[in-house]
Amino acid sequence: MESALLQAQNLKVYYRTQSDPVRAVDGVSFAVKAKEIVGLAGESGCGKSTLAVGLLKLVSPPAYIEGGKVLYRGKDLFTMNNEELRKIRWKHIALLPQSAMNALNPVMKVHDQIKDAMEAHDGKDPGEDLGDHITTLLKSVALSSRVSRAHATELSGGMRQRAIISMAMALKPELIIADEPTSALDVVVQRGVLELLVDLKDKSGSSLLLVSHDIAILSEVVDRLAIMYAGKMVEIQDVYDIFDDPLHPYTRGLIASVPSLEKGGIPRSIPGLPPDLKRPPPGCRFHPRCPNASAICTKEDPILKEIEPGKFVACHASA
Amino acid sequence: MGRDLLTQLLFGTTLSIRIGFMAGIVAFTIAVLVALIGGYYGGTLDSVLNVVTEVFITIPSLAILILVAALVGRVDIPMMSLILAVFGWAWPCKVMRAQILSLKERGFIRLAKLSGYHGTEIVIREIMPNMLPFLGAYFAVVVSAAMIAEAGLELIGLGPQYTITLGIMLNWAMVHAAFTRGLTNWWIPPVFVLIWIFLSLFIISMGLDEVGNPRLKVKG
Amino acid sequence: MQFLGNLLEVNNLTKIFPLGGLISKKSVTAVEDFDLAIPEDRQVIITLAGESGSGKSTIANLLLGFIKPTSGKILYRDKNLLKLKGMEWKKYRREVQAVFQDPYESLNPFYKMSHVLMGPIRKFKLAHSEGEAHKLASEALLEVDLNPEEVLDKYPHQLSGGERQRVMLARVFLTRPKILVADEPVSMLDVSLRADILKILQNLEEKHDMSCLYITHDLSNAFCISKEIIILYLGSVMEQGNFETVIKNSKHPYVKMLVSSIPIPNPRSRWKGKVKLQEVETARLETIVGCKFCNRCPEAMPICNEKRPPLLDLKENHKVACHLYA
Repeated sequence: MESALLQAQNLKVYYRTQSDPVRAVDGVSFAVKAKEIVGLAGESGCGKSTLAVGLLKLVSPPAYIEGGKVLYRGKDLFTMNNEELRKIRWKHIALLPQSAMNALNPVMKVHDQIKDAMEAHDGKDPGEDLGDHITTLLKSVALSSRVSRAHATELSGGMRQRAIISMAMALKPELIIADEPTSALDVVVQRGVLELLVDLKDKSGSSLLLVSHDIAILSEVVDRLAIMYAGKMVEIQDVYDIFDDPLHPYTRGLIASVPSLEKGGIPRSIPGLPPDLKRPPPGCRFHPRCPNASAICTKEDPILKEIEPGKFVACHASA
Repeated sequence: MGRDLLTQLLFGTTLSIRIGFMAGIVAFTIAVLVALIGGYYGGTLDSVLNVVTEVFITIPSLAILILVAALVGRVDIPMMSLILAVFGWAWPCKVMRAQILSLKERGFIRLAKLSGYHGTEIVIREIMPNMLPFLGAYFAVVVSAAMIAEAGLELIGLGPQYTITLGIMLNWAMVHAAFTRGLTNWWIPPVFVLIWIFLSLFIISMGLDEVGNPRLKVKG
Repeated sequence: MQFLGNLLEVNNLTKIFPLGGLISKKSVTAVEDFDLAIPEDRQVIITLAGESGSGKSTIANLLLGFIKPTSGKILYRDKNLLKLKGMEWKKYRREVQAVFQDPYESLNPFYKMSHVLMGPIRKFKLAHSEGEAHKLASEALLEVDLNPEEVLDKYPHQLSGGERQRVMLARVFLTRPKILVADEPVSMLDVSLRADILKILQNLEEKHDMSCLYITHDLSNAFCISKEIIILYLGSVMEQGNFETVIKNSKHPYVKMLVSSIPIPNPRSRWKGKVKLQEVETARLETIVGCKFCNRCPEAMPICNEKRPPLLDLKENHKVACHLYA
């Protein structure tokens, strides 16, 4: 894909255990284009968070990269040396890991933490007064300059998250990967933070990859939605298309299982449980729970195919 | 010199253990009672008990011990245990109380209340079992501390002079300059026995840890 | 003799927590003038909704008798909760139960799962022999789709979060309360497991004569099973009434902002406009004289700063606390 900013090709990230490795991300290919918001959805344990850190080769043991490539503007990140990769991280691609807001140092002032982060990735410029820069940065996330003198513990969850976002935006990256950026936040604050991320993305012309288990939240802001199940990518479509006509049975089940204020009643959850990723079932990983499973589903693992421009699905039924 | 070290060791050890355990058990009992009453029931009673505990912690116990022993002259065994107990209960008590305070806030306490249990029942049924590993460790510490204090007092000659304890053996070793004269068999055996007792207590407390923490029992 | 009044009646409930040590006089009003009525003759699932700091968990603790109110009354079967003794107190304990957010926290790690079920059986004398007790516990577990053989002898850490919460609900089946206080019963569970728990709660309401106070910040889940809602903000009720009415026809500016911000899984129903986020932490310790939402309200009037808005009746089963409707 030519216009792809970031492209994963058959990425595999496994976890070492005392027995078989856990195949958390097992051959995932997808791309994020310039200036778009992509949502990566799936239930917990599907591998989406592992994928998010895997894209930047930030996996820590017992996780390891088993195979595949990640191309950033055509260059393979996995063949770069550490120094080159470090420069790409933060300056070009920023990662907001899960619970990042809890990773703020409670004994440092916010100002100093932002300063540290900037200096670590951009190099120290002794002449530059970062004070103004940081105030502008905080303002861009709707935080008053008073916040820069505060400690993380004095701020609410939403404010801490915004401070983290400001740190991620500091070096004006082209792609921001945010893993569950709003999970512990109140409803109104959640909306505010997401609207802020979209706003910042628009203003800086960057792209956003939002990882979340909550497809309701993703449906509010994303352009395209990618669905993962048990370590595999099962569907990628434009967000309007995917809700109008979900192609994969899992996507259909997922959408039907989300409670909504638009419809009442208890939603139908997909029967069964996700498989053990140490020994996934043969063939399609979803077949034990799939209402449309047929013989071939138990034998052959379907490949993610582009059945129409922009519509990707990994299912024998739509081949 | 004609001293039968093995006999001394045997008698001395049993007596040291007796003193240590007596002191330890008394201290431990006081500590647990004070911690439970104050920690669980709270209120003014807790504030008062807390102050008392803190006072006992800050008193330099060894100094008082030496003072009392020196003043009284001849210290007999029960008195020694008592003195050791009086100054040994405070610090474990404080630690236990802190633990009880945090256990009190746990969700299963609320559920026990909802099931109709009241104060004392909850303390015994829900809180105590969770303290077993700690209780074991505290007991080991308190008894070990008592034995060290006892040995220390006797080393400087302030213990019961009429019987043999491990400490007395060390005292004799010191008095006869066994350390400098290289008479290792005077002082190594008692020291060795003391260390061995401490280790045993420690291992027992680790065993209690397994009882108290089911996660260690069952590989789940 | 049948009791036809309110099972639980709460009047002007207020709870103020003092802060700081001996010298500081600051305090936080967690709950203010809260009213509630749960009738005897029918079952309801009432949602008590609010964001963090709204006071909803404090209300749970007050209703369950874990903390004492600063002022106001909680009446159980027309008797003041604080004055219940003996048989009446035992009855209250038996008839009012709870499920909490974190099932692991609610379990004593020292004991096997049977402990949390045997406790109420013994204390409430639900069985007359060990055998009968075991039978009751097993039946309760089957009601929540758990296999007794696989659960009773296990320790909490050996079960999954979903299984633990089901055991908590099995305990509810066991005790057959009249009122269940459910404090965020599904928030810590995987999304795919929530529907089952909601079904169990609905089942308890429909087939087991149980009313439920469903406390949550997540309205989408509550809407699945509840028809009444009370929305709290900083300890005060902003709006209450029929769930669908409050959602589709919100009157209070805070509720409008809240409801419109709830994500809908439909890209064609996206948020309209933008919300404004707070720039600095507003000190909650300031005693607010007027409406608590005043400083964030897009429709604030001078009176909002001066006087607390009373809870007004709008229509059948719809009340709002806002000067706009006075």
